[in-house]
Amino acid sequence: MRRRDAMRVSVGALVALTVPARAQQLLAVQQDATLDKVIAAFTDGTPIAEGGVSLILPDVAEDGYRVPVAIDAPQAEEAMLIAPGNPVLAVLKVRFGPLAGSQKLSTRMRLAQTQDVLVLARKPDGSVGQVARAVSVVVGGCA
Amino acid sequence: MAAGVKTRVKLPKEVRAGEVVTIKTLITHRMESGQRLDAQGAPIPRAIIHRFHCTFEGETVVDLEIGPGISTNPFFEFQARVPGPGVFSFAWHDDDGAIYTDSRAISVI
Repeated sequence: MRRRDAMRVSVGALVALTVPARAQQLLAVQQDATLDKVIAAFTDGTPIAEGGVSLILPDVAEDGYRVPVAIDAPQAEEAMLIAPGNPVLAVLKVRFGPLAGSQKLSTRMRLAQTQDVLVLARKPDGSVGQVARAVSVVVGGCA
Repeated sequence: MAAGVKTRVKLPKEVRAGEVVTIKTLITHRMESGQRLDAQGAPIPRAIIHRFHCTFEGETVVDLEIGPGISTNPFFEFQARVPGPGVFSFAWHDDDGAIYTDSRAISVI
């Protein structure tokens, strides 16, 4: 093995070790956090502007266990979905990589009760936008 | 490793270079939230998929950190730009340490 190959292997091992550790740490912070803490963990003190991102949700969710939700955050590098009325507020954080074809993501979420669902999005210039949407929940999903 | 976990991925088999494709993914997983109680009133420990990562030839498409607020059998739909022929890799990280993976090759016409 040449020295160059050895270097390549060690760098690869380092990346493999550090990346998952960081991801788990962020989740641990957000597990029992209050709304302010969850928002601060994402914005890191940046003032939040209204808009710049859209949140597609039904007005009335019949079944709180699976509510279809879509985030559309044009040009954003990261977005975060927050359910302030759920036991665990941080629902999802998405990072759009260099090969993302758009900054859209659709999924299904749990909603414990009627609430204003919130989405935050950060653009590459560091600015943060937010949008909230009220959803009436008929049968709460124990989130 | 939880039993009976199945992954499903839907995307076109071939595209034009530079085209944007829609990818739909699903994994069968109960996503135990950690909030529920069992018959004896004891809390059922959390057991969820906490991360989903999609890459194309080593470059990230989307990287998701997931909380217990995502429904059972997590479904994700997103879009990817395909610069050339290659393989999409998908990885779901379970709380129990298991990593479920899937991959799809895509060709360019």
